[in-house]
Amino acid sequence: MHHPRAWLAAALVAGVGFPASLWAQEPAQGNALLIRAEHLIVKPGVVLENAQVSVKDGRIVAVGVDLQPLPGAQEVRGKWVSAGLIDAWSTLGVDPESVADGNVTPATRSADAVDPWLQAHLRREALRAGVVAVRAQAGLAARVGGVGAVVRLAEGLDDAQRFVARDAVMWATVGLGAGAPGGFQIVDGEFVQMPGQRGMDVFERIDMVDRLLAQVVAGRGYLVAMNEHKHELAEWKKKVSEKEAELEKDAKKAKKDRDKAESDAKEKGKPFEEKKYKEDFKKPADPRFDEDSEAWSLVADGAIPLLVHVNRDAELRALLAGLEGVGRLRLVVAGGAESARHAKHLAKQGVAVLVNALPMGSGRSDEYDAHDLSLAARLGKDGVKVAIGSGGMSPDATRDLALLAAQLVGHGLPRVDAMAGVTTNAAEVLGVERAMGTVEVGKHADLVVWNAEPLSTAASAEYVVSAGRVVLAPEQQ
Amino acid sequence: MSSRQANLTIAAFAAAFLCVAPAQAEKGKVGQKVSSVSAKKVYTGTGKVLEGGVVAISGGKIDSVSGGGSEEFHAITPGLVDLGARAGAILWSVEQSNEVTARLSNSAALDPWGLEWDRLVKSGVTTVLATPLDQNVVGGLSQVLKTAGEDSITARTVRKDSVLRGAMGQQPSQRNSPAFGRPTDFYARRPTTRMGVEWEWRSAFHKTALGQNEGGERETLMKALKGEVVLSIAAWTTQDIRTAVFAVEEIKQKELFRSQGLDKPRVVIDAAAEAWKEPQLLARSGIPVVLPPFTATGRTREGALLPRNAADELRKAGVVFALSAHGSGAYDSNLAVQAGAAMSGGLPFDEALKAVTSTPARLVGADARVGSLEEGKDADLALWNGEPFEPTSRVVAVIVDGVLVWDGRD
Amino acid sequence: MMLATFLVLALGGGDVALRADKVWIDGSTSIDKGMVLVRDGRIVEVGAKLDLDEGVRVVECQGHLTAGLVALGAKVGVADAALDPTRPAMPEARVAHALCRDDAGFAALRAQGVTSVVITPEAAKLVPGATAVAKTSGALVSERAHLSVVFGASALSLNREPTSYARQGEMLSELFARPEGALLAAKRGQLPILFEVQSKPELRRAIEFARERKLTGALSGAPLAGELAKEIAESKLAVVVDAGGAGEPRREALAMVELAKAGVPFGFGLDGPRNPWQNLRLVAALAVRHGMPRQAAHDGLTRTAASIAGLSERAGVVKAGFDADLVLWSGDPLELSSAPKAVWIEGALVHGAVQ
Repeated sequence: MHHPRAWLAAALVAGVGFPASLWAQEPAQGNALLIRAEHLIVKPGVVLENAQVSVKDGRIVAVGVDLQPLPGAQEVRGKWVSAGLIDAWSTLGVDPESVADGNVTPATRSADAVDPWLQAHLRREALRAGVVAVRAQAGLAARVGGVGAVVRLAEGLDDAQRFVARDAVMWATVGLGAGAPGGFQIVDGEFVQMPGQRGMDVFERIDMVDRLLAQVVAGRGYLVAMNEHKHELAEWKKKVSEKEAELEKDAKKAKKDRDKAESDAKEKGKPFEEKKYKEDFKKPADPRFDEDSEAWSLVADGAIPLLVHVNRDAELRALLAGLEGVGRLRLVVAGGAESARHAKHLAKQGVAVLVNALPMGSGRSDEYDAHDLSLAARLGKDGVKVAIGSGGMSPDATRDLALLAAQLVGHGLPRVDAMAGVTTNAAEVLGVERAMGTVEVGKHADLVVWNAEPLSTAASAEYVVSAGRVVLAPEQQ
Repeated sequence: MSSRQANLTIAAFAAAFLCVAPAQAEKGKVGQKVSSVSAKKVYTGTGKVLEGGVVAISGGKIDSVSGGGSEEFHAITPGLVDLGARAGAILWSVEQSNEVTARLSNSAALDPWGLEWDRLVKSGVTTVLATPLDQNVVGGLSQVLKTAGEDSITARTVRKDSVLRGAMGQQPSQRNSPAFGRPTDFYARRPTTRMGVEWEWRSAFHKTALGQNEGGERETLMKALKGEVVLSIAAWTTQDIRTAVFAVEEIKQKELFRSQGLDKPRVVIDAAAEAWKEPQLLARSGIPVVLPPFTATGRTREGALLPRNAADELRKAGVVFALSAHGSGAYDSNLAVQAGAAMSGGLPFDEALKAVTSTPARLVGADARVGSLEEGKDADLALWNGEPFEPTSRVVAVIVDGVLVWDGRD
Repeated sequence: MMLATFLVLALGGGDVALRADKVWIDGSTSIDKGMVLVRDGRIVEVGAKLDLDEGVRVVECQGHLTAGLVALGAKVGVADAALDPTRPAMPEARVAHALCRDDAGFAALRAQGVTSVVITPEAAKLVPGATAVAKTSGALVSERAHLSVVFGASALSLNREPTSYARQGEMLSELFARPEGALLAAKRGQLPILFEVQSKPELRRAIEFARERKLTGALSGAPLAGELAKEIAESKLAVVVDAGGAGEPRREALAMVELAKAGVPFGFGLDGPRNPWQNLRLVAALAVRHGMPRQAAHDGLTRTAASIAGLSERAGVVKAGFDADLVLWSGDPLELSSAPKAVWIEGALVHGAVQ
């Protein structure tokens, strides 16, 4: 699980100054494709009738109502077309042991645990249900689960196509089950949540928030130190080069002087002593590299969102208060069972909530006896951005993401917001909104051709396009 | 195996006549009836070998075994028989509310959809004895059944409730504890020692002879003492084997049993790892044994010693024995591997073949149907890509009751 | 107390006609812009256009009107009181005696559009006792609706007899060989049996047991029951499909579809207090996604479930003479995006509002 070297390499690629996009891997070249839709959901709330999407080399190159196919383009048609659904809270694709691993560190990259051959049948079923990508996350039992990845589910993709983002989000848990026995366990190879966490008291939970905040602050300090060092290094290099230029200029004179001094010494029979130059500028010492601080610095700078699984009021309040001063940080609340009380504040701060859409009844063994499916609707009413996930409890539930989203509509969430929760908003909380989530020019071509409206009971995917390739077609059914 | 050799003749419907082999060889379709199959060598399990042999099949039975056929496979042997297969030996297969539950049948604990059957089939095993878990002194009635066929235990059963299973030694007493001062559960029960286990056995026999038990218990134990059902006793170590033999000899000698015709039990000692230590005793008593799987260390998990030459030593002493893999389908420990291991300990091939086919079939009274390739017997065949039991060979296809149930050829 | 509250919310003293965008009589018949006339808690008339007496109040309902859903095998109102594993059999026990009518679960079920429920004792012994049928208003309809008989391993224990399938079968045979009371009623076909099973071998043993003794009732629990649909159809037993919820294995979803194909009567059940109420409809939707006809899924939630619950003469269908147990949905009832807007039990509004 732990790959400091891999992390180091990635950190170097990503750079400490943070590039605009971390999904640096380009999908490989693919064939041209034209998709004809009776109803094209460009993005939630925007539907074009009898429209087409033109795809080339893995990207959407045109969206419109009178498009002609590119030369040699494969043509696909269907009733409904939308962006592929994204399950922002899944465990599909990561082995149960890694998911339940309580000994991960903030620098642990879930991407290293992604197994493209694992749970092949579940992936196929999820694709058939229109889910093209998930957040792969190891370390759900740890307080800080490390860096999650956004992964495409289709088989036969190469690594560059498989990862939408290798380093997508930082995942942390406050309260329920984090780092304590009785939390997440593997039973018969299945990953399940075990009872035993109800007793965790409010002080412990707030203490967990404080520790989390301290790590973010330390990450920011590390970032500042790194940037200062970079600055000092640049300064030193500049001074050295100035001195070198000066020496170069004086080189001829210096040589003459040296030759003279040498011949003088010979004449006098004295030994010649070379003049010694003391180094004028000391190179600034390399700062100590620390992989965990490095990871937290990405979070502190807002390069990757921070997803905090937090349910109750007290710790939610502590978290929001504590992070107010941390400028660029992008906080996402996951779970948020009591977050509706803070909806207005969340909306104002631009903090999105990733809701767990899985009905749990009284089987839920954490702080709650029940699980209110109207949470998403209540948050949405107050303007909070809502993403919808299948809850990360079992890899099989990812398949039913669309049904779970539809169920939230039944519990008061506007249909358009439910669709956003599994496309645009899901992409946004995972920091991949520039790559996926809508059917717009420039986006990666991750598309679903449906037989019916995506949130309807009968809906299933006829075609799935992933990274520009048709990865599922009716004849494979 | 080249495609030229692979020439399994398949008839879509039951064919009462011998089918002409099609020109083009291809992999057979699982679930289809086979009308004939041929190989370079057909080992009938009765000591005969037919070069270029053909086994003709109709109605699930063997029509004839003759020479002069083509060579679809390298070798054909009878489907293998494992008397210690442990199939369905789940926790719920034994009634632990009593130490002696002779009347109860384990057939309810058998699952025709279980994954174990597939593993057994792929290792060439077509008939097994399924026994309850050895948690009781007398665990109950056991089934001889096929490893493939209909999704129904009834349909697959060759001989229903034909073997009474029990265990000698420590196993039935393990984890039991006396009830004093403890909360009552089923581990607070008898017997708690090896001596207690032996007492339970003798008590069951004597109660039966003295008319002190009743109902199904009595009926079943009577059948066992009269030899109407086979009595299979698990006994791993020398001491357990001796105890079992002495218990049987006591019955045969005592007037109490003799006078009622209760002195004819047909006993098989299962898992008799240390039988090689007492060859004379076993030869004298005429009790056959089933050996547990060989291990790399020569010591079994139960602490019994089992060297590679154990089987050959028993042969030399004239003890009848069968081999068992205890249900393993793994490539390094399945029943064919056990035969190979016994051969590496000196056992001749013919004897090894018998020990996994005709002998075990005979020990449970199923030899009229399985265990050898003879006219009129069930068409249960293991098809090999090389010489049977050689480490370089494996079973590549299996036929049960004339139906191709697995074809593992490329 | 609770009933009194409902009466206040009832559709008034006299006749009331509900007019909805669509009225579903059952899974296969619907009337666009249909009307349902209700009097004294019963449905009096159903049709596209009714000749109404003067003074009959007409309530305009936007959405689809269906019969109230019937949940089979729920553990509502009993919590742990339905669990007693210490004895092998308690045929005379009745889960109704443990029922707490104020359980919050009833309100939660009403909010899901469920109006009737079969409450089962925990399957932790061979014969755990009689099931109860209640309206989700808390009113008991029957305190001895079925006799629960367990063929599953859940009846086996290491602390008492039986510990084995073999003895389980033997003991059940003994119980039915000399039946008294509830067992006698069950043997005579006066009391249907709910056979609790899990695996396919258990299911098959239950079928054989029922066939040999000519017993009637339903098989409850086996998620793969549909894989033996033909055998079940021959047995004339019904099936209670336990709602597994999101992520239900494809194989189980396909098995449900097989039940429908083979014409086996089936209804959906919630197998325990841990099963969220939402799963009842979620699993019906999953079955539809995997190929079950909508009509079969609809009937599995209403008509057929009612008949398994013993309510075939009074619930599960929007029909004259039946209880006015009705649900007004915001849209198609099999779409999860639809929700119950209003729920009536015997004419009393028990959840939501028409507007």
